[in-house]
Amino acid sequence: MKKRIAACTAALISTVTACCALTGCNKNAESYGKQIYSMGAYATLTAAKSDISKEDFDNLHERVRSFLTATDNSISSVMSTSYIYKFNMADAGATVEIDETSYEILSLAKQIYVQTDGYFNPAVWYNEDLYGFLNHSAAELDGMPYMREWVGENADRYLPLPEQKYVTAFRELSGCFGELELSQDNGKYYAVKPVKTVTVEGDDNVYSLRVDLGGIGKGWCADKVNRMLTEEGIEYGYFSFSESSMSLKKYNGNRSGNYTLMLRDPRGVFGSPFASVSVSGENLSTSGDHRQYYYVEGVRYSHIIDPVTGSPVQTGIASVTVIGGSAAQSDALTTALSAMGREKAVEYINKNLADCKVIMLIIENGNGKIITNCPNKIKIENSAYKIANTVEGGKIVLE
Amino acid sequence: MSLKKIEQIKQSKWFSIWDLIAFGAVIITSVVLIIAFTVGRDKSALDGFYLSYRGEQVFTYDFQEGKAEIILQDNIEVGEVENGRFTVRFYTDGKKGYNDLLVDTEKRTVEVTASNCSTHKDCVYTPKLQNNSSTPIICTPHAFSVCPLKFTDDGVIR
Repeated sequence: MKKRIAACTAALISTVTACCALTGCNKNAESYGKQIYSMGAYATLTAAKSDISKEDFDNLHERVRSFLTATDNSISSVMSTSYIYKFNMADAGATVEIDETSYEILSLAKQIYVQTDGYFNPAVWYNEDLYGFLNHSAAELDGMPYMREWVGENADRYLPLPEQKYVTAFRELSGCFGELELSQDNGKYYAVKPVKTVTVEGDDNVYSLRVDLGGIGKGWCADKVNRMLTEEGIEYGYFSFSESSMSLKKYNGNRSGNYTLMLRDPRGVFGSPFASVSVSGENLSTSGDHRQYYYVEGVRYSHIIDPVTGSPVQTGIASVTVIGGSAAQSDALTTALSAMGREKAVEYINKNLADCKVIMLIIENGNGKIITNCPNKIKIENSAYKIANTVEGGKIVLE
Repeated sequence: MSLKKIEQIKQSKWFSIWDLIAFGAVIITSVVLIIAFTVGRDKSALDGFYLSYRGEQVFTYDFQEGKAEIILQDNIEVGEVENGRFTVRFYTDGKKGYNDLLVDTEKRTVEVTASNCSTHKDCVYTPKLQNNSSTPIICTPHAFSVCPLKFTDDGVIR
């Protein structure tokens, strides 16, 4: 009889254990989730119900929303009351009082500008505008002599290419971003605008430096929100800002605690992924040429500006994802890597991003290739794409 | 304990037919639990959805109760129900922009069918909402989104 009891008990324990293992035996997998509209984009905030009460989650959501709105009010390049707008409108050489947020983000942008040898450059404001990728809602910005009328409808809509003299002049202007000076005194923050100006033949305007912090701001916000989640004791959940930057905790719906991150195929049907990666407890950013772009004579022009040419990138790098480090850093680096081109980007990754997972999709002549320093960590979701490199000693080796 | 009793225990079978029946019941229960936890959890039919404009709800619809609530009257027009389907037109302020939605109350789905938002109309090409884990449909130019009423995190981030 005791044998039977022992056998039954052992079978029951092993079956229940197996059941728990397969289901993850996780905490309550349900989560709270809310969206927030800010900076012209949507952010998503989630947290596991096991980590936080509904009331506390609603309070956290309000805090995050207020924080994002305040940040937008500081760094927006089109909102006439923002500090960055005032900086942009100031004369060359002027000292402009800014707030702590603008100061912090500009300081970080300057660091990454140096680290990437100028490939991350938030001062390509005029080049972005020249190609029609800035929001022109502010009346002061309308009527620029370089603006052209959009042509066509829907998917065929495009902006005729600008005159090369403007591209060259504005590229030259953006090159003085390194001369922007930042200082603080008695709790006040200042930015000194570079004295450099440019003019264009046949145009009476004198152009001085302008910046757009859109390429780093969302990542910076993701880092700050991640800190708020940690302070609230959130172990399971995430914050995602547009499709640009994310801060992930753990996922409470499986045993591994990993989220499945789907990397969108920039040439695929909307939402279809080219690869996926399991990830948790990381900050990450992704940048692609799929959202804002148009074609002129068969050439694709996207919103990512190459600081070297002053025009939209033509490097073939259609998507870059950097997982690891701070979200602000990865946000800026995805833009920089897109502009660097394949060889320089690989060199930079091998030298500086050994601790991060980097996944690049390169599209050339309609064919897609994936270059990554973590081939064993990603799953290819579109069989048309292959990994085009090996990894030796943690470094990418191009085939 | 007598030697006879010990011999009986030694010779007895490890499992009787009732043991096997009990084990079978446990295994079946386990399989049902596994399916319930891993397959069924996130594929529940859409309970409802809400429309959001600049981060604020402007319209909600609950499939279970068949109940619609228009929160911002100037921004929403709801069509008549025909064959279990009805349309909703969302307008941006000033009625310059619009997004058309088709709601299927029988299949419990909602999709954006037309919009004058931008060149690429991402919102129109986003897959319809069909369960509580569906990815929200977002129209960035109109600051407009369509989200499941009941948020469930399925662990997939796109």
